[in-house]
Amino acid sequence: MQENRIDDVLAAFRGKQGSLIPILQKVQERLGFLSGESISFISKALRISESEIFGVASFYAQFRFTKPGEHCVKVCLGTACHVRGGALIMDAMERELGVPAGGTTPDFKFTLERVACFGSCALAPVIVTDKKVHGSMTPAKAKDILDQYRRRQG
Amino acid sequence: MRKLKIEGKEVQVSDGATILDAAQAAGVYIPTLCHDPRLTPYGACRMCLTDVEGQRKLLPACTSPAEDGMVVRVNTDYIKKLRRTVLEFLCVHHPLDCPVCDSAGECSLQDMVFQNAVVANRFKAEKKAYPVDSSNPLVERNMNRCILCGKCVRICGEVQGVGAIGLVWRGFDTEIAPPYGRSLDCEFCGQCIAVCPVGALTSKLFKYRARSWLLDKTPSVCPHCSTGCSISVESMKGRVMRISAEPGRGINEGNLCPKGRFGYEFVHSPKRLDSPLQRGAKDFARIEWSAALTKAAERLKEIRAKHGPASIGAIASPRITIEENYLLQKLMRIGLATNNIDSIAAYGYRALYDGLIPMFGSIDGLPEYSGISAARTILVAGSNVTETNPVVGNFILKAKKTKGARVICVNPRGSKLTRHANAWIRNRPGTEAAVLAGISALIIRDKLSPKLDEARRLPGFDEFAKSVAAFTPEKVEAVAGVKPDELKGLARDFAAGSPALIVFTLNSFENSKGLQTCVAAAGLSLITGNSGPGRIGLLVPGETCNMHGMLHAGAAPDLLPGLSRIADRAAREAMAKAWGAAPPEAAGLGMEEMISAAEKGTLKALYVVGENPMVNFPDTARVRRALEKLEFLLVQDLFMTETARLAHLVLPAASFAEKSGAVANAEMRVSRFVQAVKPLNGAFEDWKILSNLCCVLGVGEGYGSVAEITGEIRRAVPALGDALSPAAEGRRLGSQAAQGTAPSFKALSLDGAAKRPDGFPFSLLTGAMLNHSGTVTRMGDGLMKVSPKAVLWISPEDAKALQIPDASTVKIASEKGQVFAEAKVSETMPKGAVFLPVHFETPAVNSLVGHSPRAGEKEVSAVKIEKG
Ligand code: SF4
Ligand code: SF4
Ligand code: SF4
Ligand code: FES
Repeated sequence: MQENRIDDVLAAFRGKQGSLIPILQKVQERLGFLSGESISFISKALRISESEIFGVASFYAQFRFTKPGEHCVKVCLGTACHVRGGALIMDAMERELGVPAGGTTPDFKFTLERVACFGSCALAPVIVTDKKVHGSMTPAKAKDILDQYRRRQG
Repeated sequence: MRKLKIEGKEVQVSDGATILDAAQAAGVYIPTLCHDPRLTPYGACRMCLTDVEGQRKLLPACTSPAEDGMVVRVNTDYIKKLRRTVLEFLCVHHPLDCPVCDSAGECSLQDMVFQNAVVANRFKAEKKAYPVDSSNPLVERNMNRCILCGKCVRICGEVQGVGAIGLVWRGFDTEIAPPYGRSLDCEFCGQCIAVCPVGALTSKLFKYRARSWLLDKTPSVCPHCSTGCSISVESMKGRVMRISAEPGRGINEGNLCPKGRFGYEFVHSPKRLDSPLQRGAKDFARIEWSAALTKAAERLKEIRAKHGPASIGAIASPRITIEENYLLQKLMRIGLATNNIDSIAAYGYRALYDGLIPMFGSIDGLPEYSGISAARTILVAGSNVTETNPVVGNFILKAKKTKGARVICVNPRGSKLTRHANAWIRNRPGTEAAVLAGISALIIRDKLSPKLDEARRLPGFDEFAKSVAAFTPEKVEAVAGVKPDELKGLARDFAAGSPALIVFTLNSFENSKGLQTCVAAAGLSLITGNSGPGRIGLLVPGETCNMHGMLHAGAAPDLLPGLSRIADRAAREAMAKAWGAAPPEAAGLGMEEMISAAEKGTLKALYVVGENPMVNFPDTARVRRALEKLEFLLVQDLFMTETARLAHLVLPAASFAEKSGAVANAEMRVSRFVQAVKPLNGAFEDWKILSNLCCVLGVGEGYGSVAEITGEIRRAVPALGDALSPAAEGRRLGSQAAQGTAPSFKALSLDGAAKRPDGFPFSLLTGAMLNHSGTVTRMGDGLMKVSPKAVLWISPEDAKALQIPDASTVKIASEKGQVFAEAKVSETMPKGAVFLPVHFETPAVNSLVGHSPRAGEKEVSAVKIEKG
């Protein structure tokens, strides 16, 4: 039961006004995303309807609503990366993983995301896998990086 | 008071009013797209911008408070230009598919584009391309048309208290949707459809049925529960196309529930009866109306001649009009010389009359709905009003939200109301009377109410106090499972929270509350000063649209029209003067007695009008035995019901939309069905059938119109008749009883916990569902898609212990019988209790339920549950 995994989060905020967003952040930290089950649990605890919570959460880009993959691949499409071929790399990643930006592969290995600038413009174009930044990417180099991750998992 | 000037017109409004309110008071039109008086102002659409002298910025009229001395202009050139720009922006994304949009003709956007002559658009952008979502039974979502006014989200959350939909995602992608891209799964009240200013949310039942401007609107009243919501029956070419409500008319402020809004399809169901049917050797055969009426009269006369008037009885209906019930009782009393007439009220609502009339002299002091908004405390006892009487439920939610009323639920089952309540006391099934008695006992013992001294002076106080004294907190805990601390809190809150209103239902479908619940509630209300002369602090909404009207019309074995007792000689004489013949003196057989008599063979003929005892009455097997034994069963109905199938002769009747007549709601307020379409060919209005039967049985010369019946009632029983005249629209029914006398207490007659037979460990609660009304809404596809069958609600704990997975089949057995149903595992159920709704032929819930003596408290049925 996910409830058991987040009830301490709720307990910590009990009785505090305006704590929905911090709660959602903590829950996402814990579960990696906001599951339907967790929102229904929060809804009961805070007496706010699930759709209101979902409305608030979906307004912010920081929340995700599907289970993320084991590894997160972020392709930068900020101005610097964009002019240096970021879009090509995104295309290649989408094809390689078989999911659109924002999607997760069916084996839950990778989640592909787009971001708008990492502040590593000097290295553009950039992709970030989990917390590691890879600069001067080409479609081929990016694919190599994916392969390394794949191999590592066996 | 605030005084201001709008477009040169002086206007005064109360504090807290907005500029929009002031403009409406001044008769100045300000266009709005996101405003609705029922909802918190939102200020999103910017259509209502106004120019207030001295203000640099334009102010939205819907959110800006009206202030003294304001000079407001709403139609400057600049504002007009701005409005056009707002509309242009809205039309950038909005598809112009008006020719195929069901809202065309009643679309605010369309109207405003027209009014403001927005002929060309300076802006161009991507159109939205959401797929149209028809994945749920009733509400079609077309997000391409949505203008994000947020009205649907607010009405669903604020008025309905549901919150099924939200504004999700952001920017260009913002849409109205249930969370997680799920399909809509909600109450299906359709309130969101009704407030949507465009065609983004539409009714699937109305899809491509008619252009809105071709519809005839007939003002009428909802035929389902006793809330008495005003409706418009919208029809075209003799067919009812949809039901709507106008915010300004009636008690419901434009609100409707699923039954009211979508429960009209039965009117044109292909299953409607279109000819009288006579039972033959094998099957039913169609016969002519004249032959049917002659046959009916002959059989009744024969049986009367052979076995005497006491061998004939009738079952009246709280779904037909006051005039029709009046005719039925007159037919029985004069035409057949018997007082054997009763109704489903015997299993529920009659307890209100039997409980309260001895205490208050009459029931004229029952509260109006305004009592809900005036209450500081609303105690809802063992009743799911948000399901049985949904719009009354809305009033309670509104009182909490806008007036800060404290809502307390005493209920084993969870519901929308318990979710919103300030406090929810979860008692054991069927113990509401004990809890109420416990509260009274504490208030008396600890002198918690300042009104106690006044109450002590009323007759019967000591007996009442003695009868509740046994319900100490410890005893209540033992009986009802309510902790002493909870009970003490409840007593303190209730005593201190005047004015306090107690709300509960006494439905025949429910097996948990009866006369003693009523007496306990009235006693509690009296000791806290919430009831008094001419004033009763109990709101008891009934299950059907005309409960009060039926009883006031005299459709009861011991009551004459106007609620006079049959034993009252003067009343009988008055009726004799009006009727030209006197009603019999002795009270007739009540419902239970008639069924027993039929079972024994002493009741030979029964005339059932608009009732379905085979589903609606307790102990189905016994009802069947009784009905099957009759020499002549005459059934008058719209459908071949489970009961009609046992009849010797069936007469097809007309629906509420096809006839006119008065009904009285839970506050005893009179409204009228107004004929919107002609009766189905072959069927007739109940009053016409009754009028004809009166003729053939020698009672008068028949009636040419409803008004003639009303006229007769006015002459015979002015207290009843005066409220019925169309001129007296909205009056409340009165009785002939004395007014304003001091009330008295009645002692509670309740012993502790009911004994439970061995081997039946579960308490079975029965009741009604949100989406159904009696057995008639089964005849429409829309609501049947939402609630296609009765399922057994069971707690997660019990389901786990019995290894019953959700949606699996289970067997439910009581001492009376057994049925099978699908299980629904739900946290709304407490451990040890299950719930099964009525309405359906199978599972035959009432075959599990025993009948209880009329004056007694009902008993929750004991059942066992097994895997099916
Ligand atoms: S139908 Fe009623 S409950 Fe369902 S979303 Fe619309 S307003 Fe809410
Ligand atoms: S669906 Fe209709 S009511 Fe709801 S926000 Fe859109 S336009 Fe407004
Ligand atoms: S609350 Fe009752 S009267 Fe009102 S619409 Fe619903 S069923 Fe009809
Ligand atoms: S009606 Fe005022 S902003 Fe929409």
